[in-house]
Amino acid sequence: MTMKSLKQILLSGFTAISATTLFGQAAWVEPDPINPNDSITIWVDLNKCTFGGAPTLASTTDDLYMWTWSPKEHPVGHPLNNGTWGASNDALKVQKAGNGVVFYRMVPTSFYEVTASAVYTSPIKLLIKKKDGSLDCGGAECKTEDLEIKITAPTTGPQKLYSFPRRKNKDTLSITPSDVITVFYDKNLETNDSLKDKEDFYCVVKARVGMGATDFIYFVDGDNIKAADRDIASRVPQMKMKNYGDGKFGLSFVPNRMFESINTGGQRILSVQYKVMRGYIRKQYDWVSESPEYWFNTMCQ
Amino acid sequence: MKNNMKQILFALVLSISVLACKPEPRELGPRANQSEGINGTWVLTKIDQIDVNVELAFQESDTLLDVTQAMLTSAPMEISFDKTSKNFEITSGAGSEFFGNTMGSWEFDNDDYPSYLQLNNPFGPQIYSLIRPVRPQDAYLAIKYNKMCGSDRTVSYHLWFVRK
Repeated sequence: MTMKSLKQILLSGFTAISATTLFGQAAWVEPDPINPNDSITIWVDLNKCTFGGAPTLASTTDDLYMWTWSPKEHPVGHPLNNGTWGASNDALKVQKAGNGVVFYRMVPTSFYEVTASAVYTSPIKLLIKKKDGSLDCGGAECKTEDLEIKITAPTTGPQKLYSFPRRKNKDTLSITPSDVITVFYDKNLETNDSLKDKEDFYCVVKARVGMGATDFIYFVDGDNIKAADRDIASRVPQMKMKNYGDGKFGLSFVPNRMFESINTGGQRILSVQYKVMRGYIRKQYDWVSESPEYWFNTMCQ
Repeated sequence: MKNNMKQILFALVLSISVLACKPEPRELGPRANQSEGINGTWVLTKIDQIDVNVELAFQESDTLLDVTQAMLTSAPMEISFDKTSKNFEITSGAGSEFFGNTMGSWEFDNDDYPSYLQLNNPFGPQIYSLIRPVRPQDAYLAIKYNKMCGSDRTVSYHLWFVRK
């Protein structure tokens, strides 16, 4: 092994550990987005797994194995079959990156013997286990819970909702929350008849400050509009979208500034999630159905 | 013979016309002194954001967006350059975040043909590309700020100042 490859592996491991520390995912793939016909790495942070046996797996010196059944489970006799619960197939042994993080490299279409579209439609499902999964690991079986990694198909062509700057990866921007982000809405691609002839749009944004489902700060929660919030134009006038003409609307803002008055603890903004809606909510269809979330570059300020 | 005479006459008239239209050579005049040009106080008036991740752009709006309204929400910053002492000083305001310190020294990479402006302060030099020349007669100073994360450029901003 050359010094360069060693450096690359260490760097990948460090990146993986950094990513999981920052984003709190138990399982993910790299690169992001992936090419299903090219090599990918499946990462699992055993410290983030919730099943009772996971802590023991995170610290064990024993070999660990991937057990996978989706997009396709290989039948008995296939060289990449999982093996048995008491004796995993050695071909599915994972490598350890340190700090309880393990990884497995594969080309998805070759490994699972499926088409690229199957990789996008059926998530990768797996768990990590000891060779004998039935052993006792702290009072539970020596395995993690079932883990799922959804692979999103690349988007091409015009999009109804998009950002400027564009996303660098699937849902991550290269900018930080101290930069300007502009959210665009292209009404020409709207399928909701209630919005097609309207022009009073507001981009109701909330900022994520933690990994929990409710770890947001907001002036109005666009995903849970209460009766008192119906007059969006009065509640969040600063979120009015500018009409750029040709059916396009946009809102430019600096997230750190936008939420400064309510971010009393000075928490770091990890992402913004938004919903485009009309200035006054009269009925359920007065908003765009999608509510995308864009993650910021958290490596720098 | 009559036809030949006509042709000769036509050629003669044509030559005289072409020569008459030839522009007279002009002198370019002395080279503009850009140290002289940048001297004085400038007010930040416009900010364009550049998306550095776009690999294929079909129109300018694919890569550049005017974000002035989002950034200049209060009184804009000002920057003064002194051509003699080679010092600069910033009056804080909207847009100050693009600069590391409020005072220090400044220099061009090349005084005759500058391509970038360097601001020196205790935290180290900051480099700003010149988007256009800044001659004494120019009303605008336009510089480019690259925001870096390690060795990666994450985003760029074009900062447009007007002479105060």
